[in-house]
Amino acid sequence: MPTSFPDTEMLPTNRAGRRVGQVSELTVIVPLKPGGADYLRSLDMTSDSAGDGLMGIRTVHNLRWVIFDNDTRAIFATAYDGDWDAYIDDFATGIPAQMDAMFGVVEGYPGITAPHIKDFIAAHQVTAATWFVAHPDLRVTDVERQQRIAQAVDGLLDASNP
Amino acid sequence: MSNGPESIVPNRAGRRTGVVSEFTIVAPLAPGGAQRLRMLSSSETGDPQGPDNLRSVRTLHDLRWVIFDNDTRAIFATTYDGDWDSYIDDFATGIPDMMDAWFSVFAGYPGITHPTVKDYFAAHQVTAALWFSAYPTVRTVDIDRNQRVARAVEALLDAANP
Repeated sequence: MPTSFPDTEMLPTNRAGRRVGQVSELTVIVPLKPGGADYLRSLDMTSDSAGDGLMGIRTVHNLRWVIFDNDTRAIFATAYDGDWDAYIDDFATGIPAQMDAMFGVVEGYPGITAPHIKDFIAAHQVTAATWFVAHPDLRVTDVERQQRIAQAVDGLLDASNP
Repeated sequence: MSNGPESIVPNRAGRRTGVVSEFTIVAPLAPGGAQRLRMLSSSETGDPQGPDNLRSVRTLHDLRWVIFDNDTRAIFATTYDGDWDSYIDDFATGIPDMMDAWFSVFAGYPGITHPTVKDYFAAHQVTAALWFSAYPTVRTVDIDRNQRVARAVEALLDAANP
């Protein structure tokens, strides 16, 4: 089936970002506070609490923080499922402390519970020119469910071929 | 449970968790580069083979191009499986023309067949300070296989419950 990048669409509603199938991109470019870069580097996403926290957000495929311009700016880039507003809400309600730890390095960040937090994120978001996903029809929960099924089938086949 | 061992990609820049790595380039655009990038991305004038070509790269999860700083710079950010060098090789051997069409928007890009092309990428790559993948042990080819198995199981169950 020939397709082209126009398969991607702008997010419905009035939010920025590009979507293909179920999967959207959110890219934010922000100024860092003095010392913010060092603090960001000191965070450990693989610590049990951070890993569990992000794993608990069932709509995030991946996310990265990239520091550039001599520690004065950073890029936050993520791939996620579903709605922009729901995604921010997932972070705000699921891991508010980690959100404040990560985004606390950003100049002007009002805190995850501030009423204008979404305006703040939206103001720094830059919609991608191009967005490609190898499996646009699969949400995180679909990837995990299909892996469980495939592992169960492998177990079944192993049991029948001892 | 942590989200898997995290490390720097061996011998190269970028961060990896499990088998899934991030690769992020921040580089200046050539004059007219932003316009060319938007053209390549657009439905009317774009690269109709783009998505099919990208789907042929079996180590690619997602990628985005983001233009910023008044059309003077761009971010190329991707999520991929395995080795840095193999990943670049996959693009260079699989879709060299597409690579050149897209990456020539960057100032100083030498061309995919040029002996210094990997040095060019490495020089503009910025290793993420933080990197998280929700399914760090699942490669793109695993997702394909799992999806086939899951669909077969569903067909099996449908057959058993007509």
